[in-house]
Amino acid sequence: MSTVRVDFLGRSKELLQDQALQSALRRGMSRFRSLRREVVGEVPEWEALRTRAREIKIHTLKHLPYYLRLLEERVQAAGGVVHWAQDGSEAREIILDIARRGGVQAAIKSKSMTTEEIELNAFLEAEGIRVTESDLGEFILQLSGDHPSHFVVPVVHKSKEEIGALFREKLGAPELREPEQLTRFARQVLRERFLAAEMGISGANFAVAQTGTVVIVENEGNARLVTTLPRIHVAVMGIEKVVPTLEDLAVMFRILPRSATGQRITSYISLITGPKRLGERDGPEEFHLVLLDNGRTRILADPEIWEALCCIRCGACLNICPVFERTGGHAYGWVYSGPIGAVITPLYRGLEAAGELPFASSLCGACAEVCPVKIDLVRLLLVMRRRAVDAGQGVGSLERLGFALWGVVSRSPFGYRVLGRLGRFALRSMARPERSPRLPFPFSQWLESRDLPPLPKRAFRERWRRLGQGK
Amino acid sequence: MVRGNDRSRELILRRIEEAVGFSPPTPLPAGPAVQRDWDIEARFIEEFTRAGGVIYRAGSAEEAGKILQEIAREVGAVRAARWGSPLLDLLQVDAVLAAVGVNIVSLPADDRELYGKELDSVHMGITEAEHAIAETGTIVLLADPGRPRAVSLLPRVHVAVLPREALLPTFEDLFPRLASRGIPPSAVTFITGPSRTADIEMTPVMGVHGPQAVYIILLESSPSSQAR
Repeated sequence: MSTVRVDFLGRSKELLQDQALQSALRRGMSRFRSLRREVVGEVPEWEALRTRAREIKIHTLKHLPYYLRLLEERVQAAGGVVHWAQDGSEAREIILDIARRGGVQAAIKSKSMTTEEIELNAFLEAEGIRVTESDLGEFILQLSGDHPSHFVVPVVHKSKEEIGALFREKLGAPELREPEQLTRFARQVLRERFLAAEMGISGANFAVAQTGTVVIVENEGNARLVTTLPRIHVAVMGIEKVVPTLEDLAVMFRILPRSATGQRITSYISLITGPKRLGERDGPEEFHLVLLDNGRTRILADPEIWEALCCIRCGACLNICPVFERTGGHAYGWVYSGPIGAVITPLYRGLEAAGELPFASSLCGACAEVCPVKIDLVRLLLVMRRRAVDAGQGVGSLERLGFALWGVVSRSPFGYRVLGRLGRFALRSMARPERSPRLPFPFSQWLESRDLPPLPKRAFRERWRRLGQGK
Repeated sequence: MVRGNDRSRELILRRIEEAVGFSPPTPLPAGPAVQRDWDIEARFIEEFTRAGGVIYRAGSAEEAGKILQEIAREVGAVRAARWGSPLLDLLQVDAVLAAVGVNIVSLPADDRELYGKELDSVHMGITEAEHAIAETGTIVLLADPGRPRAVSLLPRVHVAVLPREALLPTFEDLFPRLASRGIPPSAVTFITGPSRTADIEMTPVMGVHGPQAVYIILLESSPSSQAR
């Protein structure tokens, strides 16, 4: 894993200049938002469902040792093998070992953020195992050596023209212009790879402890192929993905597709319990479940932030976030982006590596309002900001001094009034028509990425007094 | 068989126990009820159709056969694969399709790659949905030795026969039935419409990895009760 510091500000400045990206993001995110609004609006018990989903996640986390042991026992009872990995490196070694023992030369993958997190592909490729991403978006990214910019539509930042050129260059495709032609072509290429692969690697949206069942939610059918055709299936999941019973899935099936893609349900949901049974014609002969910690137990032990583990990776907080809509996922520098990424990237990778990520938010709170498991993202962002400041991150000494002074002055009514008057006088003298005023350093820094609305004629306190309400 | 690493297992479980303690859970009380003021059949048809699927109703086995022939003609099928199910036998799927020039292939048993290639080249896969969920317009396929998963996945067109009595209102009605078998089938597949993607410029395209078209033949009065 690279430990390079995320340069959110620097990256986002570049990304904001990319006109194609800007229009793709606006179009894509606003479409997701309106689809979501429509399908959420038609569920009268939506709030009760959110509350329930959160209850299920919190309950499971509180009893995680019990449910993980139960899951392990049931997977084994169904003939599967359970592996425990403390970190990405151990998970990679486990998967490589399974591949080596199975004589695997080619593996095929369905979309999994957890395998992105542990940077599995590069590792397996370096060990001589050919890995193909089969989700259409992920396949395109793999061809271009790029990274996902969104949880659900990883390739939202690429145009069909770019993808057409990529297919011509890397796959010898003819000139293809429309998404439909490009999709057909990819289907043919990927079918060949599916038929040749000895190992399928998937993630898991949920795992049911009661039955030892891994659940995969998708639209393309590639996760079905990954869990059906190859001789070996390896599912990789974070330890927080377990739920107690099959009945709990009913709630998750109602909230996840609506929050993620604005669908009432996805085309496919697969419930996989162990390898194929005696006499079955397809399905894997070996089923492996890799349970990954990689920092999750550290988050669980942190009473201020452990609720971040409730996240079901739907991407609703990305789609609604005014910051994400402008920068896209690449600005966040790691696999998890948007408001939840701004919270958990510093947790997984360290405050220093995450740079100004906890500050990449206007704190408008829209993310917390749409979160289907009611994660209080605003509170979590504030916690991470406080920790960043305590660690000497994100705030310069000048800003620190400024706020300290402000803290002293604003506590006295007299000080507040005098400072207010001064400020208004100064701002008025610097006012420019139709634009924010040009302020002297250090205030100019503040306005680099913000607009200052024009001042009203009178301050609120003044108007209040004139109305005779003040005393 | 590869074994898990016991040391990591112990360490991870210990860390979790240090964080949250160990207490056997008392099960959560029941969740909120789903509002259910709709007609099961009407809702199923509405939702499955909205997801891009096509439904035909059949009043009899004979009618179901005619519909199957019509679908085969429409999609230009020459070769098809099917599940071994008493219901499909009762509908005389093989004979019905042979009459319109569609050949049912027998799938290679032992060679994984040949099996995949054969199904990949088939135009139509025919299955039976043992359950369906009206709430979302979803059919539920259960894998077993006669019912391989890839028949509903590799061919371009998937046709599922759905007996009227297999319709359930919601997911909550289904799950106790899966768990009552002790251990669920190796694969339980929920299908709602054709395979789809919107990865390129968020433009919807059907049939990216799975079938481009999904048909359901809804058997109003099922002969399957006699067959079982």
